[in-house]
Amino acid sequence: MSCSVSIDLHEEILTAAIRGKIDGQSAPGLQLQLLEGLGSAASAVLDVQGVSYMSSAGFRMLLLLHREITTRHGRTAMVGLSEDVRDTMEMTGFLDFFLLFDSVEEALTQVRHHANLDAATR
Amino acid sequence: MNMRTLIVPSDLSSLDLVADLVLEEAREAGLDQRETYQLRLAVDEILTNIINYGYLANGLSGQIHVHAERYDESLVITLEDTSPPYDPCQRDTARVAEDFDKPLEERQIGGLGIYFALQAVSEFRYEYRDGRNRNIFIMRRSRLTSSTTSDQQDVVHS
Repeated sequence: MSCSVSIDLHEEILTAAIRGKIDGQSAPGLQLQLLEGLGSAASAVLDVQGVSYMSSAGFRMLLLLHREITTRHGRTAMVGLSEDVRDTMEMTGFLDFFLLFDSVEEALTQVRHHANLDAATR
Repeated sequence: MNMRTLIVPSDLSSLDLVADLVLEEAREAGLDQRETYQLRLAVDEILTNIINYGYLANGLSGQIHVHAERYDESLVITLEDTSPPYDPCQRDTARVAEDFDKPLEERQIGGLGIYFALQAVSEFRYEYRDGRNRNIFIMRRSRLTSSTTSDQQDVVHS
């Protein structure tokens, strides 16, 4: 397997640490694991510090995950995007829809902060 | 010119094998990090389509030949397969790019792979000959001439 993921669910936020390449072989399984792992969580933090490559199959996965999270009024954050993956996300206008961070701790703090703000205004 | 051929089965486990070949050849050819990533992306996207839609969706299996040719100024990767004829250039990639300004909720799924493939390399060609699809990816080294760079820009914006 060219890709692995470890999943943690805590306080309505899914944290997924992904390692390897997200391609046409690994993305369908990863997509299933993330969507199932989401459970009742509203938001997700994807730790992609260990991801060196992402093809369109990975973009499809991000698109579906983002759609699901949007229906739950949550946020999708990404941690440690590589320069190459970031370039392709920028080119396709994907980057604007994800919160970007350098560390998982920072991402969790900000996602919680957004969730509290949203709850206060709803 | 230096040429090498790899023959892989028409299943998704071949993605890794071909990526390794492209990365190795790109290093030998002296492509920079960005050129290497883009070439690998282009080849990976078309290979994924060939396997999923050319072979698996049609209940077919076969062998895919991957040629790598290293020249002074460029690296050329060719994928040759025996699945039904399919020309990626027929895909309306301008329509795919129209989606880039839309929210993710309103976008079509699909088409992004071929968009990446066509715009990532210096030149892409498709031919069908002797019962074989030939998808040809040409990556020129950027450090050579400024005209090469402007050619690449044209590809991105067209």
